[in-house]
Amino acid sequence: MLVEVKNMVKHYKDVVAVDNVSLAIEEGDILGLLGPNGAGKTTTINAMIGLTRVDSGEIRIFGKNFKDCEMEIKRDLGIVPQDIAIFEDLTAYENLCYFGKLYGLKGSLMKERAEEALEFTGLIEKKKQYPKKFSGGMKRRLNIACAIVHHPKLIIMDEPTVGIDPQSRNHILQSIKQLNKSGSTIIYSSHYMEEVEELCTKIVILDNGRVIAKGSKDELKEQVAIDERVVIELSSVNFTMVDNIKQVQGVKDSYVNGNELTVIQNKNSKNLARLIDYVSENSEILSLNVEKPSLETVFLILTGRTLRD
Amino acid sequence: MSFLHITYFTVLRNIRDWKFIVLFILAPLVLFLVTTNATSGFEKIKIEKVKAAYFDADGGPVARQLGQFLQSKETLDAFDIQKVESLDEGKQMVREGKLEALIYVGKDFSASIEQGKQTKLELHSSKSNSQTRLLVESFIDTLNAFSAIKTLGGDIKVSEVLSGIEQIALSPTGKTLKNSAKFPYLGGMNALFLGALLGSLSVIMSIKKNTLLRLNVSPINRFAYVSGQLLGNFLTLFGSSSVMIGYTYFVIGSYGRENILSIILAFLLFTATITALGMSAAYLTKNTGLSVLIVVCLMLFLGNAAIAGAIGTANGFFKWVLNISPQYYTYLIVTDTIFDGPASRIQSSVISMAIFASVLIALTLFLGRRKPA
Repeated sequence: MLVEVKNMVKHYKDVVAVDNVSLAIEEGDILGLLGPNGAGKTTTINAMIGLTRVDSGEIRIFGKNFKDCEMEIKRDLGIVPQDIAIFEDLTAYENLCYFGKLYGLKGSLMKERAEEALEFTGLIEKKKQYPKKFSGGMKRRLNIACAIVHHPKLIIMDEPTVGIDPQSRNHILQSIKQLNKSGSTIIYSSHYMEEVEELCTKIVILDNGRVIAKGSKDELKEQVAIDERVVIELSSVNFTMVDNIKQVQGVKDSYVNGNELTVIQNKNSKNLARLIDYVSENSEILSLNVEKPSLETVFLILTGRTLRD
Repeated sequence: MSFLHITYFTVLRNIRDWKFIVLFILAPLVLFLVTTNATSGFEKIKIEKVKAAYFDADGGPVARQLGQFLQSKETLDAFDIQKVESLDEGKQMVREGKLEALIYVGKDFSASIEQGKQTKLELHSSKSNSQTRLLVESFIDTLNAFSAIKTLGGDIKVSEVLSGIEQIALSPTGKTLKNSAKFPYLGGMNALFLGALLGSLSVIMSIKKNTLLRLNVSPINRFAYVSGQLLGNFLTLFGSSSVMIGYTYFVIGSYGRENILSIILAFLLFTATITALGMSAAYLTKNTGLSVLIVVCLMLFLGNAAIAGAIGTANGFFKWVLNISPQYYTYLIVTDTIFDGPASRIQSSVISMAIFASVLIALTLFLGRRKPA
């Protein structure tokens, strides 16, 4: 295990910020920490990187604990903080030199790594510019570049895409996938379901400081018993057909919106073929989509509220 | 050496920020140059030279040494000393009021000293406590120190200057700072004191801009960051202190005894003190407004005490405040060095400043060390 957290507890006065959290990350994983604001994601991350002292529990990074091997652990960690942590009065290149040198990079290696990180984040053309002239997305990318300049084994990203344009977000997500392909293990904290769903191989859902579910995307979706939605676009729709569909075994509901017929049926009812046969007898099917449950739905079922509540 | 590269980037960031440059380097300089009047900042005190004479009946080596001392340039700056042909001639001139005193060197003076015997120098004067006596005493002191003959001076005893008596620094050329020149000089020092805000703001900025977090998770020593930042801010502020050093040495110093090392040392300690003070205030409060308020209040409080002390009007509580005023100690080191003030006071001021600087640096390192919450 690259990271192992066992029964971690952290209180802030009377408030329990993290309550008995346990999680494990294997090398090569992208672990998503998912949860609403105040769920305990940042506290969990801060405890992992030695910024917060836990009340109880054990944290082992690279098989070592912070107390004994702080410097060794930190040398292989790359942190992308939630708030942008760059010097606006140093150029993009100087920012990378500043942080890179803290990790022992120097000379031609420092230069090479700084340019590589800038290239990676699409900022090489802006290397001599000051971040104060950058857009929010570019600052976020520089924030990431500063964290990866020293080629860390483990990269921890705390909501790295907050408040940026879709183009920059897409660039960041692609970069994260690339980093993972090149061997980095990543912990990705976010409250954007779609990002976690797209990126992460494993997901831990936190709420009120507790782990409420963990596993792969499919495992999480399997954990919750939910209905299946079939949306069929037809050339024409008649209401007799809708009523008849409701009589099909396993179908819970059926309704029409324009030329779009939506059928809600029990998961694993296995009557898709029957549905298609029946509908095609009465109309022409233009398209058909079986909507799988999203993480949003999983979260809603597990917590009784949406992530942005 | 992580802290040296933090120092380098701290200086780079400081000098790139035009607001910092204007506030902490140009403003003190402009304030100082506008308020000061370099040409009228000093006054020449008219000193009438003391007339004295000596008669050497001995002619031995120690007597000749005394003669050389009495005819040296330093002595002749303040005394008008002539050699008389006989004891009677000298006594007559004293009686007529032509001389303040006559120094008589008896026949066996040198021989007695060489044999380690007690001997004496005679001083004939119409005044019970003449300035010539002080001059002779200083020669005896020197001679005693070198020859270790404790009773050489006979009945002449050297009395210490009482600690309660204010010693007025006078240069050998009779020049000293006018009160009107002390205001802008200490005003300039107060403006320098405001440089403490550079330390405060740099700490607050690093907290607010979140860069401190990234440094806290990097593999550097607990004290590396804060010591690098401290040194960087110190070097930046020493830029503005250098202006004061230059002015002190080249303008004020040219009117007195120049000792660039003492002047540099004074400002080095002063700059270290204010840098650490500003950073400590910021680490303690973690708030821009509060740390600025602390620095400005201290500047006004300690600065005004220093001005009152320099012009001799500090009383009661303000007199006590002088004991903790870096501006006053720096002022004392500088003026005592240039205008030939007491060496003991220069030493004690340097020690006080070194203590201030050390305590505040230690406090800054302690407060700024990285630690988990």
